[in-house]
Amino acid sequence: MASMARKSKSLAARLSRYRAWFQATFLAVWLDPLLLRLHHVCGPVFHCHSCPLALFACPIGVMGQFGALSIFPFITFGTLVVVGVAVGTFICGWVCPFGFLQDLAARVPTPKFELPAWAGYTRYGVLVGMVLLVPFLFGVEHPLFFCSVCPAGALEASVPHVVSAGWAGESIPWPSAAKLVVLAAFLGLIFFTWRPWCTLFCPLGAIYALFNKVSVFFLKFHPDRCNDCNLCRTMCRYTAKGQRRADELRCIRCLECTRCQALTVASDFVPSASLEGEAQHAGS
Amino acid sequence: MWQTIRRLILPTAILLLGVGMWVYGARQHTQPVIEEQEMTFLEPDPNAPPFDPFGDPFPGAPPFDGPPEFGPPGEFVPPPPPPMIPVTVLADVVERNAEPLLIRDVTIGGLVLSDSGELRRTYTGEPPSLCPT
Repeated sequence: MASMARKSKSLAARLSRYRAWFQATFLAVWLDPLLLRLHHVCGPVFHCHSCPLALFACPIGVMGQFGALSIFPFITFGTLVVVGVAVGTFICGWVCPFGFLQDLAARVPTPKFELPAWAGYTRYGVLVGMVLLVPFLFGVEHPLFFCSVCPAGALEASVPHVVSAGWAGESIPWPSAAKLVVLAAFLGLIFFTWRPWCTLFCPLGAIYALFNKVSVFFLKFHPDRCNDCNLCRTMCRYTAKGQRRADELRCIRCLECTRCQALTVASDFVPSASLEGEAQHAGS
Repeated sequence: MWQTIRRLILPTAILLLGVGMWVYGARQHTQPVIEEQEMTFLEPDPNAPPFDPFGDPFPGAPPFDGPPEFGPPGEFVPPPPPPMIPVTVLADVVERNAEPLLIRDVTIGGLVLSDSGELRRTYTGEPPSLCPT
């Protein structure tokens, strides 16, 4: 019966209510409040290193630039592998500042449309084509190189530099027209669908999603607790439709679906009781 | 059984692989980078007057007033070294840079791949502050 939803009070379900606060806290970290400028290493999130307030180097930017220089980025891959295999796309849902921006925009009460089910795979085209192949074959000057059109770079780096140069009366370093068009499209889309960048284009999310199959922490579906109430599918906004498989590529692990008792965060490295917490069977 | 392997051994192995890549990149991985550096060295002053072996050996001494008396043969005295001046030039220097330094450099567009396939630093001295993209 759909009305008999099994509501969960697991740790994940309780934490998911405070996800925006987690995202805001991590945003404060990525904005380099101590001005450390640790650009010798890559961060785990999508945050342009040309941003005046970037703590780490962007892993995607470094990957593309190293590809253009024909160097294998061991530190970047090491970072992504370690973070990816530990938590998978939890990074997207809880830590990434660009995802946070889209989540905030999605709170604006505008009509939202759903992206098609196949949409999540376009990210792999972006990853292979624009991040790996184009810079390797044609260099970073090519207009299809990822950083040349990246809206995060436009928003976090180009806009602040244009404003500061204009304010100081210096010559303005205008970004390319393509970058501005992509930024405008992105800023328009985020109000009318949930996380369009993450779903359609984000190459970093595409990498982390590959680790969802093997990550230490993962979402577990308990068929014995499911009564097909569809609560998990109702709660899911990110085209992942309920995450009834732990390896769902489009899931950003926002944990909204764990409000249903049939889905929990699990790990074979941690006792399940500490993650699931108290669960109750509540009629609604 | 397969689930246990997948959920315990595989993540551990991949985690170790990632840590290994990170440590190798941070501590071992280096690349040769060509960098223009200002080098200063001494070279003979081209404006200095050439050495004259028959010139006045003792400038300021009384003028020559007759042949010297014969005496024991003297020792050979080499000519004095020409005056040297410091010269500063830009020269290509190849250095092996660790990967963290390479990462820092690509974030500011500080490295390019030359036509001959070598890495070349795009700046000397103070690094640029902006990525060109």
